Amino acid sequence: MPAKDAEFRAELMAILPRLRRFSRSLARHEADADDLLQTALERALKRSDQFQAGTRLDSWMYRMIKNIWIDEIRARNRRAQTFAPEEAGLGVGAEDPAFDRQVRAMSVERAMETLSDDQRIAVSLVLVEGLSYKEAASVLDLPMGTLTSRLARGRQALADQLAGKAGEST
Amino acid sequence: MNYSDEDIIAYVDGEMPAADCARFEAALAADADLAARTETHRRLSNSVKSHYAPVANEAVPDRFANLLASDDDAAAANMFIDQLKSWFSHPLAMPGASAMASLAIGILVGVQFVPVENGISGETTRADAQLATALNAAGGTTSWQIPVTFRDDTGRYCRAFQGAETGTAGLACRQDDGWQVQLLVTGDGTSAGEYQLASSPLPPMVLESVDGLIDGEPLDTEAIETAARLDWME
Repeated sequence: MPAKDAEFRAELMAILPRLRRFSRSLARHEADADDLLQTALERALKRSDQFQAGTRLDSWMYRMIKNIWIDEIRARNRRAQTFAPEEAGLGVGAEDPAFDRQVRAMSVERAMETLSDDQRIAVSLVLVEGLSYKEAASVLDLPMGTLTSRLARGRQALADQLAGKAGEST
Repeated sequence: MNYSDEDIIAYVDGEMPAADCARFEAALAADADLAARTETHRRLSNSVKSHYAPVANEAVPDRFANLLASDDDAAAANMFIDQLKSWFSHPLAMPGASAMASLAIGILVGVQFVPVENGISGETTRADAQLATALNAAGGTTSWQIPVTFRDDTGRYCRAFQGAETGTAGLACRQDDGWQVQLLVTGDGTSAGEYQLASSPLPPMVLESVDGLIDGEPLDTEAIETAARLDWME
């Protein structure tokens, strides 16, 4: 059991950078994203016996992160949004000093903010994490058609936001 | 044929069936409106992807590294660095009058400490779990940065590491039973030395060792991520 546990932890460690990226694309602030990931990792360690060896750990974790985000973090974000300063959305990619890049980074995060939760999760899994439609549909336990329509609507909303047509997308 | 946004998106995502791709590409060449819509979706995909991509290359924060360290590792955490500090504060551990002490020692990180040179007879102790965790993580951790990753001529993965605050730097190569530290370099332990800053370059001795061992070029981010996923073994 200890060897199995060590192996499970090592596998989590290997995919951690991707899980962190996924969390960041869901939660608005870096601190929220890391709290989300922390909760997911703690839950994963507690429920490691429920993970079926031979299946994909990343899919299992994406699903767990998504569920926790929906249940807990989203409510907190909604409360925090009233008070958070505008600049607080910055962070990812902010190490690049180029101003236009920062503006673009801010725009992507703001545009992501406007998506419905379902659209945002679909966009995150496929665009940010690079999952195939089949993999993403399996993580979300959705028929393929539902996934592709969420993707299409989410992307159209993003495109409208980034083109400065906020408000016209929905 | 009129293509819907879902068709265009499937094409951009590489999800359009191969049989339909050729027809779509022919339409793309003939239809400026379709080409513009496709370009918009392609650009959008790229900007979302590239916006979040750097997160996966960030160093793993210690809170996660510690959380995922196994219980055995956690029990051993920090002993290694404490041991190092005690050696370097001991006069016998300072070769010559050099301002910088450097050691070539063999350590199996996460397994056992086995000094092989410089007459240091430190008691056998477990090596630092944090360093092992950083060496295993593609992007290192907050405490231990990994500026260079490469393969030596025997095919082993080797990584140069640098403590963000300790001023310690070195080189470790992956063996069947774990990471073996090939070289450790540290400041003289009496003052904030040249290598105390997180942003300082790797000490020359470490760079020389990298030069001596490297076969080809350092690994790029993608190759490092793949290697980490495969637990640094082939």
